[in-house]
Amino acid sequence: MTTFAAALRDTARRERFAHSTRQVRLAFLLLLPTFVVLALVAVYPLLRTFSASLTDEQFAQPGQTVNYIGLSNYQKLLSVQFIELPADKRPAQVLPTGYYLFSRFQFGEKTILVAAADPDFIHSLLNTIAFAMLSVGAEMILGLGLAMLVNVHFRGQGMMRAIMLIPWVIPTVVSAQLWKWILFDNRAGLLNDVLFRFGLITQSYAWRADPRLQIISIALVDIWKTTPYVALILLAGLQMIPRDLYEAAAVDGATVWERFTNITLPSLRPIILLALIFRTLDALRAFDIFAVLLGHDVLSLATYDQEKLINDHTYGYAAAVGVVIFILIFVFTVLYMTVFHVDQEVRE
Amino acid sequence: MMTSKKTIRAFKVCCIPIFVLCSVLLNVLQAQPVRADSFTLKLWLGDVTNKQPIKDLLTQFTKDTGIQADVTVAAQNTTDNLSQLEQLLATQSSDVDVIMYDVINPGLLAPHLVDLNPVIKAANFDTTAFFSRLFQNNTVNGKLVGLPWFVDAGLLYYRTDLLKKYGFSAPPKTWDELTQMAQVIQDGERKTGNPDFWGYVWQGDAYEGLTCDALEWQYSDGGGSIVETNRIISVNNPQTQAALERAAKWVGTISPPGVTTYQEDDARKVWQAGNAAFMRNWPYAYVLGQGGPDGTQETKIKGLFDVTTLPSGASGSGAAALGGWQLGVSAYSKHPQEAAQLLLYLVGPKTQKSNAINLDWLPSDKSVYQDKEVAQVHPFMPKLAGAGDQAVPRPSTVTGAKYTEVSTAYYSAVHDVLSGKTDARSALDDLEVKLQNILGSNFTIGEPPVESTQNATPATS
Amino acid sequence: MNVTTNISRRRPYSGGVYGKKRTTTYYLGRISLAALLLLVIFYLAFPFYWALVSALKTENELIQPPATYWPQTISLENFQNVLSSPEILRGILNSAVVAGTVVVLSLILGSFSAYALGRLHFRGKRPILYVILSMTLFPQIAVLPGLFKVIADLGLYGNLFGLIATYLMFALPLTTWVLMTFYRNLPDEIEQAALVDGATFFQTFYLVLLPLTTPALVTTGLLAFIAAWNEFLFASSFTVTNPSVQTVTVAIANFRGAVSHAEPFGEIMAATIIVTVPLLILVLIFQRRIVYGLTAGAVKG
Repeated sequence: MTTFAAALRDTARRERFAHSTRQVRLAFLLLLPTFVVLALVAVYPLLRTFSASLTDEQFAQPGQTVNYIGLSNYQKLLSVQFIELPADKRPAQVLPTGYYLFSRFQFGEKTILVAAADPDFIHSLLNTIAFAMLSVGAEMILGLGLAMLVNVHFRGQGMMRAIMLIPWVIPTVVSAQLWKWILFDNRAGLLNDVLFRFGLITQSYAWRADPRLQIISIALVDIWKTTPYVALILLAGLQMIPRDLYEAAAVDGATVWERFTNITLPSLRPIILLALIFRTLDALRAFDIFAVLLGHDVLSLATYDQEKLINDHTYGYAAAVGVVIFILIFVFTVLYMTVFHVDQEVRE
Repeated sequence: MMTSKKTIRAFKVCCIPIFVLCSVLLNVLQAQPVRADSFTLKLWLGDVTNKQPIKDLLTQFTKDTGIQADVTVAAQNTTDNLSQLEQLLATQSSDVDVIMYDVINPGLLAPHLVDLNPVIKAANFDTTAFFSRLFQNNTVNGKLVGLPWFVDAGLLYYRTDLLKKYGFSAPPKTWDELTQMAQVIQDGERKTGNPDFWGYVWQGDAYEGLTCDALEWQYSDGGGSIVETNRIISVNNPQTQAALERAAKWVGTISPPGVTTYQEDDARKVWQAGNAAFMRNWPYAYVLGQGGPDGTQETKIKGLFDVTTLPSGASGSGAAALGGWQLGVSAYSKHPQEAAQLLLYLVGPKTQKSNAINLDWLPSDKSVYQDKEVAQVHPFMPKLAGAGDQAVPRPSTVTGAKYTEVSTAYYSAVHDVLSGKTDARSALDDLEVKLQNILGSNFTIGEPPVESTQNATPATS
Repeated sequence: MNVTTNISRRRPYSGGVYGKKRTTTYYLGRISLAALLLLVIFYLAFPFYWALVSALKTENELIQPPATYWPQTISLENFQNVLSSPEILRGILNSAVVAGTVVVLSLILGSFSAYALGRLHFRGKRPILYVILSMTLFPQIAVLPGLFKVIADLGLYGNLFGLIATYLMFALPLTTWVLMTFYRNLPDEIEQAALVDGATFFQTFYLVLLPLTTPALVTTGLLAFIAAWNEFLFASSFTVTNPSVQTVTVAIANFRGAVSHAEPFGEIMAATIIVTVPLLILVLIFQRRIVYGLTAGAVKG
């Protein structure tokens, strides 16, 4: 059995021999168990979802005939039309069959209707993206700040770390209920009462009912819940930056800000990117938080998917929604990777 | 200080097999004991049920018949609960024998349930004891898929002390009267320093409960029941439009703006804190308002409220949405005879009475309501005797498997009107088109039946 | 990494943290740090305090506006109700077993894959990375029907193994990716130091890499643990017919009030406290390991 040392000796000759077979063999062995597990559990459901999205299969209906309908599920999801509304007609009279009103706007003298075959999907898409951007942006900044705060040595540091993890440790099903009650629309709800006592508001707000406040309220809950997650990842990264780099920089006369931008940020970049990717992934798939707090009123992509699957029983269509979510997230991930040039660091 | 490296290593190495051992043990210990000769009937519980009283019922059943029975525990919310049941039935699993399903689901679950007509004949079971609408609701294409177990109907709760204080002699008879009375009481209470007081709370969240509330408004105005039993989509009519516009006006005036996020218990929480003059809710809130099943909880409104039927609209009579639970036998059960036996036991007259006394649920058996012992424990029971007969069923039977989709479209449209996103006319126009698309060509668009206003006469018991 | 070239060398040494002269800016900095700390602690911890206080209130007090920040009458009824039902406690045990097994398995398998992807050289790395990642990109609800069939066919429905298997689906890509990122950051000299002594792969891995990346391992383990602990959809769907294996999230979510339709908020909060406190204690014990820093000696020179 060749030793690891031999494998590494091969590394030295990397220039001439691009891929050492010993390394490849070792890599294969190491990756095999992971692949076996994933193949067993994950592959079938994913393939099934892909294949179902091309059919009109119904959920939990035994004895149905399943028809292959090609890409018409996707077509329905993504069809949008612009139609002019004549002054004397109502929208319902002008919309083509299969299309519903999504919104309207004024273009000079004319009223233009935006008709979509599935306006709920487009709403859920916009809601989810708005939520993800708001939530992830705030979490990254707060998480970084929190990680740096906790990294400093002070008394009670351990306690602080434990406290910092509280929101994330509480199971989402209950923390969503907790926040639902905190956001209750009279002063029995904590948020209204606190703001009232500080004199910031004069009457209770309906945080979950008012369309202007809904996405913000839900982002508030999500930020509360996952800032610790981000902080934890970034903290581990911070811990691995050697202290003497900072000491050397301080001796050279660097300010705190310069130390931050020239040592901390560059060293943390891959970790930041990692946290960013995983948080965006989770935010775009947000389910529990939307389901408990906003129910059927404001849909995210995932709760919309559930509605299609469970309420409408249209499995094929729901699978198509799932695939679209997948593609969306995938595109985001690739975008992040290329923008931050992480791809170039993946040396073959 | 630092424990030695060897100990750490040993600990780390032992961790894995210990965990594996633990999980294996746990699984073995919790596996259902499978004895060749005996079996346990499984009762699928719906959501919103406390399982302990039912478990006690099953223990009693075992004592009386010797057959083991137990419950499954599925998700608490309606959507998840139903989907879990459907997934199970789709795999034709024999893990469930008797199914407790909601009043809106017979059409959906019919393919999976056994026809009970022969069972009833064989057991000489008297089905006239049930509320007729409830019983008929369970017949799908001639097949009797289940028997009613509990009934639920929407009620109007009102504060007797506040009515007296502001000079009203009786609860409101019409919606307009309700609006006016609620406004007066709310203004008065706000002046005396209670900024959190509202006139009328109900369920306005975008969920099945809104279908119930909205159906009550529109039916009492003569607007029909969304889709009629003769396959007519009748929801787009001027009466329904008026009903929705009236409700939309309540939001922010006599009802809190957050009422569009209220489900049953949210409304109850505002009411039970003493901050509402009127509430629309199911009967369960009565018991809680009086201090819980044993009456010992403190509440602000104990003894200060009462219930009555919902106000009427243009049609001249009120309408209450029909709710409740039914029991059916799974077609995939390995022990259908015993399952049927359990079913008949649970809905039988003897258990109905003890349920009424012990479980605070409204029985589906009419005769129990007039029973003196029951009235002693629950004084409001006799008042509700007519509720089951007057109640309006949602169009679940005629729409069958598409009911959830229909209901979702309906309550989404209503919710948009309530939250001010669209006006009632456009919402109903869109809804009509949507329902036509959902239900297909077997259904046509038309007017609500004129006699729908007279359907709500109470049956004399 | 030549960092210091960017820093101005001409800036006079005004005596920051390392100097003897503590300027007002220094004190201002410390004070604002403390203030910021307090604000963040408040935001993060107060809802938990609120849950605790709510659990100690009677329902009557809970629903009364305005909110009270300490119960007028302390009532242990909610806690009693929760503890008297065995589901929650059994749920904690089930959750612990599932989460623990998932963590151990995903850390082992994940660190192997992470090593292969982070430090070895072979063709096809990028596609493999994306394939592993793409397993977690699907929303859970979309894969539920397919997964249901797999679990039922494999005979894993209604027991803990099914849950462990499904959780690995999202835990493995997570551990692989996180650990890979950390491994990649380690300097190349690490293995060369070990190979001089003629170590095999597993020896290097075990004696050199693991201690160096302990903060990453503990962190990743914690991430996977909490993810498995928090998970609800699969746990709820796959354990319906066998309530004795339900995890704690399902047990809490299924908690009913005394009467139907009632949402027993006080009791749910009591259950939350009961479930969260042991986890917090666990975290307190392990938080030292999260902070185990790189000793300068390993990298210097």
